[in-house]
Amino acid sequence: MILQMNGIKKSFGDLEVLKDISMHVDSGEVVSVIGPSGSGKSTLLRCATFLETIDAGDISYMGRSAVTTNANGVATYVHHAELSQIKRYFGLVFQQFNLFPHYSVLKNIMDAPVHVQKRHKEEVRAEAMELLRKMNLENRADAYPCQLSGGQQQRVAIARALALKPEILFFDEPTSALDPELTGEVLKVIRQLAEEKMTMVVVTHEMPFARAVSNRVIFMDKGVIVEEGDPEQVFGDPTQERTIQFLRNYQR
Amino acid sequence: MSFSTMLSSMGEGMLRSCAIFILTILFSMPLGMIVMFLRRSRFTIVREITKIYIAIMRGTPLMLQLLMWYFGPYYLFGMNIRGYRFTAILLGFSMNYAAYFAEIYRGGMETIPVGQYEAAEILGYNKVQTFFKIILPQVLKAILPSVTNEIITLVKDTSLAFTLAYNEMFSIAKQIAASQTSFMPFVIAGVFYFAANYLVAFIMERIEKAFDYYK
Repeated sequence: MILQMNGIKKSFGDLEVLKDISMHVDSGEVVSVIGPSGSGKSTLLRCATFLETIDAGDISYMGRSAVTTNANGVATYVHHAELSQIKRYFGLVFQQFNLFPHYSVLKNIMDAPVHVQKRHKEEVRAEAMELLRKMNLENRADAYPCQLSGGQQQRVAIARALALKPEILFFDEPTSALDPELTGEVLKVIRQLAEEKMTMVVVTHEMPFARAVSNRVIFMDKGVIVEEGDPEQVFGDPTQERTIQFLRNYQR
Repeated sequence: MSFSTMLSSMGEGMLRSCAIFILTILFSMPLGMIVMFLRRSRFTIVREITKIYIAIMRGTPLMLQLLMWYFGPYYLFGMNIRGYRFTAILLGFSMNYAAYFAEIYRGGMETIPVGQYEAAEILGYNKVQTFFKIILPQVLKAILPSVTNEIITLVKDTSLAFTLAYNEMFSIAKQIAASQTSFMPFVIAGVFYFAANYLVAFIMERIEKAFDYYK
């Protein structure tokens, strides 16, 4: 098991965004998280990647505990060095790409492997070029993010995340900031990664994509997991009234 | 007094003006960075004290601040420091300009989207790497026009050193103008400041161009 989250609770002030969420991700699995805006999907991802601290619950990656909650309900994160180690297990692709504008495409991809993981520059360069080929961007290595379309930028962001060789890759609405005609090229890349058995969790509004690519679909609403299962079951034969309603609204 | 004699006596003053200018830049720009960090500290008390410092530096005339730095030690503490004049000038200019630079830096920091910090964190950069590799280069690009403004102001402000009877160029110009009843020293002074600022603007434009490779 790559990721295990148990009893996650998170509030912003009085607003309870996550109410006792548990989920796990196995190696090679693609999990889609769907649900209406404000359902807590993105917050769940941000908690899983430690961009937000949880109020209660347990999170572990590859069997290594990152945060635990004791009997008094106090969530405690492991110390900094251990947490840094655990952070290496995952990558995150943002809705807004968040590429570094002052770095070329190649440097965006190479900088962290070279300066964070301290790997050999030439070896990283070869891998980065290979990733760019995979993203169909091998001729844009020297371009700057501002010279690329949104779809190209997001593919660079995916390559940047993959360059660190994570065990699991999270996607936070990877196509929501893109023009409709550019979403296809990004989804194609994610689909390709799924075929290569990359472990992924994708928060998305692209229902046909989620149905086609995922091994498991999680439907969230108002901070709880309403329904979870095989994509054909969740999309084709949902059991919960709230899921039926959401999918019906979506088709209109 | 011939034009060339005038020019040569003012020349020494120009060197002094340049010394004030260069040393103030050298001290106030890094100092401003520290003030900016204090201004953004997570400790309220540090933030508030820094705010008061900035308010005083911006809210009172630089001329008054120079007098305070020079005469303050004597009138407040009875201290008599020898050869303190130039140090007082540098203290006054640097502390004053640091406050302005700090606010410029702070404005630059706020233009950086939170996503840049989050991406850096996810990629495993530590705090120091994040600041120097990711944030600072983008801040520099954002603040260059304001920094140019500030530097140009400083070139002209060096003339305030006359307050402490320091013989920089403008003080000499006034002396000569008074003794020779001539307007010429002021013309020379004007040309000097204008030329210096033309150079500053030219160099800063070059630096801005160097940052032009990305948006």
